[in-house]
Amino acid sequence: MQMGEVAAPDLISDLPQSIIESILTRLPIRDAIRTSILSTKWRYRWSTLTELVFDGTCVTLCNDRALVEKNIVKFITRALFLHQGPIHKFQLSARYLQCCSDIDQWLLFLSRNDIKELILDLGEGEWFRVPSCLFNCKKMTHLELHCCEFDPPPTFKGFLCLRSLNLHQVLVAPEVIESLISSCPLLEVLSLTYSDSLDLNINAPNLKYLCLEGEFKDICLENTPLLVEISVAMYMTDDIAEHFEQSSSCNFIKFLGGVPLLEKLVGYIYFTKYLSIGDDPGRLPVTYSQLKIIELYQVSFEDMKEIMVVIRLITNSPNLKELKISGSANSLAATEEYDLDLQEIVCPSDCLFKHLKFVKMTDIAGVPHEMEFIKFLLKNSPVLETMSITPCVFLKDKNLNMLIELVRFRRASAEAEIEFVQN
Amino acid sequence: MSTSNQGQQTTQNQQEFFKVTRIITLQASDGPRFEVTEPIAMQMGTVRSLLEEDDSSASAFGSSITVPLLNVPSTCLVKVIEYCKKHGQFRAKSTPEDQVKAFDSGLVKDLSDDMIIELLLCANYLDAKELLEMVEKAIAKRIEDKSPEFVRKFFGIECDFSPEEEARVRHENKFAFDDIDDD
Repeated sequence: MQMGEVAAPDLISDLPQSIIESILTRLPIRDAIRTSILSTKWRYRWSTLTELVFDGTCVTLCNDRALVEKNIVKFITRALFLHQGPIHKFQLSARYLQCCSDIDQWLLFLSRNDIKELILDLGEGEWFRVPSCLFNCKKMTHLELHCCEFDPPPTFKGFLCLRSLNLHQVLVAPEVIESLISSCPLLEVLSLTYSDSLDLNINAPNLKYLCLEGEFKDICLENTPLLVEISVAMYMTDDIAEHFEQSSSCNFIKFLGGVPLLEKLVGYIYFTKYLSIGDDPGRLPVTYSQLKIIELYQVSFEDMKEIMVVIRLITNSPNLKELKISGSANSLAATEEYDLDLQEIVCPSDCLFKHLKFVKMTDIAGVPHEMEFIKFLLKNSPVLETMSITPCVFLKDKNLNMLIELVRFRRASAEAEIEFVQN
Repeated sequence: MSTSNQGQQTTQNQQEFFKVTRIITLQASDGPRFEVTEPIAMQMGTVRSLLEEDDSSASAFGSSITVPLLNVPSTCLVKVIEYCKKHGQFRAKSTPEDQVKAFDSGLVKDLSDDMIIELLLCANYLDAKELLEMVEKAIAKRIEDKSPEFVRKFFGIECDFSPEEEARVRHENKFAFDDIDDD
C-alpha cells in the first residue's frame, strides 16, 4: 500500500471468536500472545485460547542451557497466570526441561481447568514423576507421555473419558498398564512404545487402533473385538527368546483370535516369529473378512513355522488387497534346501486370492522358500497388478538368476507386472 | 435368474440413470454465475442447507437451481469452487498427502494479503470447513514471526492504545516480547 492510501477496513476483528481462535491456535504461542498489542479489542483475545502448545519456539534458544530452561519456565508460568477460562489441550515439548517443581504446579493448575488433552514430552535425563493431580483429571480424553514415571495412587479408578493413550518410554509397572487400559472403557487408540519386557493382557472393548513397540514377553488381546488396525514391532532379548522356547500356548490365536474387524496388520522384526510359536491352531475360528492390508517385515523364510503364519493369515483374509513382506538376514544362512510345495500344503479351496492387487517383497535373498512363496502368490492371484521385488543388497551377483527364475513363474493374472527393483 | 428379478433390476437401473445430478448455479455478489454439480455444491455448508430445504419441492428429474451468494465476489467464488472440485477428485483417487498440500499452497500462494482475508471471510460465510481450515493455516503462516505493525496492516486493525496503555500491555506481556525489544 502506498502513502496516503486509506487503510483497508478492519474486517478481521469482527469475525466469530471461533475463527480468531482457530488462527491464533495455529500460531506459535509466542506470536499469539503478541497479538495482545494490536489493539484494545485484541488485548486479551489470546488469553481465552483453549489449546496451548509450549515448545522450543517460545523462547530464544542459546548455548546457555540453564538460561533457556529458566526462560521457558518463566514463559509458561506467566502465560498460564494471564490465561482465562478452561484449557482443553496442553502440550509441553521441551527436551531440555529437566523435572522441576514448576511442572507439578502447571499440572495442578491444569487439573483444575478441565484439561482434556495432555501431551508431555520431556527431557531424557531424569524421568519426570507424574504428580497425583494428573489422576484427578476426570475429563481427560487424550493422554500422551514421553519419558515419565507413571504411578497412580490406589484410589485411582481410571479415566472414564479417555479415548487415546500414548505412552512412550514410560516407566510403569505391567499390572498398572493392564488395569489402566481396562479401566478406560472408551479407549480407542493405544500406543505403547519402548517398553521393557512387558507381559500384556489387553482388555479394551472399544479399542480400534493398537501400536506396540518394544520388548514384549507375551501379548494377549483378550477383549478387543473392534480392533481395526494393529502395528507391532517386537524386539528380542535373551530373556524373551528363552521364554519363547518354553511357551506352548498358541500365540497366533492369543493375538489374532479375536479381531474379526481387522483392516490393517503391520508387524516388524520378531512379530512373525512370535506368532509362529506355540501349538498349531488348526482351522482358524475367525475369518478376517475386512483385512485388506498385511505388512510383515523381517520374515525368516527358512523357518517353516513363520511361512505357515503368513500363509495362514493370507488364506483367511478373503478380501486382501495389498501384501508387503520383507525377508530377514536369517534366510541367507539357510542350509536346508528341501523342496517346499505350498500348493500341496494349502487346501485348494483356500487358495485363490481374489482381491489381491499389489504385492511388494523386499530384502529378498532368492532362497528356494522365498521363490516358492512368490511362485505361489503369482499362481493364485487372478487380479494381481503389481509384484514388486527388491533383492537383498548383498547379493548383487545372484540377481540375474533370481530374475530368470521369476520370469518363468506362471501368472494367474494377465495384468500382473513384475517389477524388479535394483538400487 | 428369474424374470421378475430382471424386471426389478431394470427399473432400478432406469431410476439411477435418470437421477441426474442436479446442476447448481452459484451467483456471485458481483453478478457472474458459475455452474457446479451437486456434490461440489454440497461441500459448502450454507449451500447444502439451502438445497436440503428445497429438496422437498424440487423434482428428481434434471432440475436446476440458482443460489445467490450475496457476500461472495466472483474472484473468491472461483477459488472456492476450484478447491471443492479438486478435493472431490483427491478423495475419489486417494491422492497422496503431499500432492494435496502442494495444490492447497498453490491455490493461496499468489493471493495478496487482502485477497486471502477475503477468501477467509467467504469460506466462513459459505461454511466450507476444510477450505476454512486451510486458509486459516495459510494466514497464520503469513503473520508468524512478524512485527505488530505488520500484523495490524495485514488485518487492517487500527491501534487504539494510548502510548501509556501500550507500554503497560508490553510490560504485562514482557515475557513474550523480550525478543523484539532488541530490534
